[in-house]
Amino acid sequence: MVFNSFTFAVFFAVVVALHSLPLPWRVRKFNLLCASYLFYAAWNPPFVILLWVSTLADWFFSRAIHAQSVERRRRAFVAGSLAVNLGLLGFFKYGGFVLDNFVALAGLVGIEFHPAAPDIILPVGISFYTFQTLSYTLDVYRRQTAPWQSFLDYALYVTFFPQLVAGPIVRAVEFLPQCVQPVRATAGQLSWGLSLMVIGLFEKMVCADGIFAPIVEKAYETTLAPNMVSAWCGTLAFAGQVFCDFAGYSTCAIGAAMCLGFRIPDNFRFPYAAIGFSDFWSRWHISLSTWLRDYLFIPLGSSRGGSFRSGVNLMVTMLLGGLWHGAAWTYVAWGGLHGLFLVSERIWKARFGALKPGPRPLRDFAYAQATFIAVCFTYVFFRAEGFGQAIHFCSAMLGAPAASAQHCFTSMQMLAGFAGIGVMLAIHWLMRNTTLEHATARLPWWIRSLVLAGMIVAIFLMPGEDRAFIYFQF
Amino acid sequence: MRSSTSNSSDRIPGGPWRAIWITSLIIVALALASIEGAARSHGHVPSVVDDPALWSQVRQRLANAKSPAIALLGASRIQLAVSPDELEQQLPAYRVYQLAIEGSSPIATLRELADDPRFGGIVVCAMNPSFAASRRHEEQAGYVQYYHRRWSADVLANRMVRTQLQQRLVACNPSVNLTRLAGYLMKSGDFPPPLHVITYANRSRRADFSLYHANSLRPRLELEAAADTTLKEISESALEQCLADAQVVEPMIRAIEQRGGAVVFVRLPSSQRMASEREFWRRLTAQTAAETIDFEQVPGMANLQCPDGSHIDQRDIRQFTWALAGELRHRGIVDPRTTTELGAVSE
Repeated sequence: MVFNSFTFAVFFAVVVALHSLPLPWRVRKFNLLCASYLFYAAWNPPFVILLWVSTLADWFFSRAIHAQSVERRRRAFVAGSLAVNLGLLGFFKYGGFVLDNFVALAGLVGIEFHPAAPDIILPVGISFYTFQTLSYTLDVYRRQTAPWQSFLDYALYVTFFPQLVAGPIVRAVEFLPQCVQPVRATAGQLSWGLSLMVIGLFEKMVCADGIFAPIVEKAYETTLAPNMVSAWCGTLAFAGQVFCDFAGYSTCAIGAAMCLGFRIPDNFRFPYAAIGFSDFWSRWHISLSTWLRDYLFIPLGSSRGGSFRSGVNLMVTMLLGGLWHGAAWTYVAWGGLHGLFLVSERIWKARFGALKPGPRPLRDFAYAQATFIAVCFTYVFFRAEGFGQAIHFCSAMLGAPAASAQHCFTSMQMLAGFAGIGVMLAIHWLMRNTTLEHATARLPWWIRSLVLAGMIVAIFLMPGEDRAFIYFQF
Repeated sequence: MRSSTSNSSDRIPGGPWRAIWITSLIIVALALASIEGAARSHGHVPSVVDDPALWSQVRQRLANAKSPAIALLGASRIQLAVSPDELEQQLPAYRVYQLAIEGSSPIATLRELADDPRFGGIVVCAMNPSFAASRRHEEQAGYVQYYHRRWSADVLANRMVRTQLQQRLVACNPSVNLTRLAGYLMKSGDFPPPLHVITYANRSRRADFSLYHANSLRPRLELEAAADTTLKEISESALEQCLADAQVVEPMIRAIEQRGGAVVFVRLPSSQRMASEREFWRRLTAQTAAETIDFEQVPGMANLQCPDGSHIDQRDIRQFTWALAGELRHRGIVDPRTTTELGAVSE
């Protein structure tokens, strides 16, 4: 079930109504748990079993870890949890990728190997919920938290439908304490939650699907090589699409949770206004970047052991972060480029000092745009069908298009693409140091009404093709 | 535990939320009613948005069909040429399912039907040299994959609601979608003209070329016609390659025939009678196990005009459909009796 569907609207209205009934808190939590399983099963019922496997495995492993004092046994249980979660992820997400690479490798050494093509369906959201349950077990292993006593609360934490399939990746310490006392949305929470859902749907359906996606598809879903302007237009549009798609989902998720009285963390903070790459990663997919930092970069040794070791740790983290996004070498390249940018930034900072926003806004703006342009080059690898296309695009963007390069767009599409990303960059820059909530609080009520109405009308007038959220595939 | 995340829930903006939402909803209702009224007064009519979910819905109906089935495969030309309702009237024993997909070769869909052990119906498939070329064989694979991997009760329910709305409200028609509306208003200050093609819930389409001649759509459609590769002559070597590529359908035809079905390739009308297409058709007829129908050889089809070069007008759909039904009957591909008569015979 997706947020931008009529079935979700009906489902959500029923869930909110049930959650508002004067029932015991335990019953209301059970309702939410059942609703979450229904939400997931609507896509592919048998895959609910995977959710149960992940839930049960980490419930038992975390309790076993907590009960053990012998370090070796504690480690064995952590390994068990990792094996179950990463095994599921590995089989369903990376099975085909590993096989393809094995065949290619065998071919390199002269062995002809033609295995049957695996027909594996990727369970939606598996990357998100496996990381979520893993974080719980790892926190227990590191003695940062004790196993939760209520299985119902824990199952709801893993399965809570607003964030189940595309994040944010919520930590147990953020969610589980909310399950202790009965929560019901206040009128303010319900109103703001619904407003966030409208904003999120506007980002997804109007900006991502309506404005940017057709431009991106025209540029990237063709065998023609683009000229410089087309390559930039297509890539800038993808920057707009991927942000609006994913941030739109996160905003809807936060809004939906809020309508039920729950708080889940922010996932984006106007990332295209970032000054530098570490700033970018503190604003983009925050729940993943903090997850990678806490459960990968820090255990690898973080910045300890000198700048070389720190750089290696950063590269490993970003390469794996890239692989998390998809089973293709282009995603690894995307992560690798971000790793290189982060390492370069560290070297720059060590030599010339940090780039701190200060009294020279024009300089800061130029740095932000430079960061955004570099990020756009990484997006080429994120979006391209393969390295050949990515290299065509990067060359064209750098002013060296292929000899057969062609212009892909009409003047209206160019206008929509460039104007759309221009407006987005302006909004990100203006909102850089504030939040949506603060900005909204400053608006007179009637302007809020007009903005909400304008967004709803725009959503209604954008009955385009039914496009899945991009991050569902991850 | 470290976590740098924060909660927007902690900073809920205050304000008169009830007034905000009531005002918003009133504005939304007024705005949508105004757009609906303006669109209707400019000649726009409701039209369904075609997408993989709608295709999957028709495909599922075909999978669940109790009556003998006819599946229509191809691209926009067969969507605009054949009316499933008219064909069902002409061939009362059969239910007709429109599975053509705009701008794409039907080979992937034909393969999917051939691979479906439950399908034993008749496939009427538009064919031309371009569709036969192997580089185009997977063009409909995305729809097929959607049906097999993403189709669910949830998608069906959502698609049904969308279809109901799109059938009733002009404001849901892509001809007045936000980008088109904004584009026309910015460019000329005018409301956009209606599109000349309407799509129905059963995925059939109708093109009204009087609109095409009357408004500013013409230059764009002429450009599209100029880019249409099916309207261009091809070289002998390319022709041979297309025929060689077309061999891929023979096992598919056999599979369908073994289950009691049949495959009929149809050459659809076009304004240019290209020698290379005629030659392709002659050789395809000789090499394939399927039946072939060439519009030039069928009296009811040969005289039809294509105002844009390759699609027929809505006023000619009935004539084409009747001619197709007549040809299917004449060749003994379909049983001319009704479902009731067939039922009586089997009893």
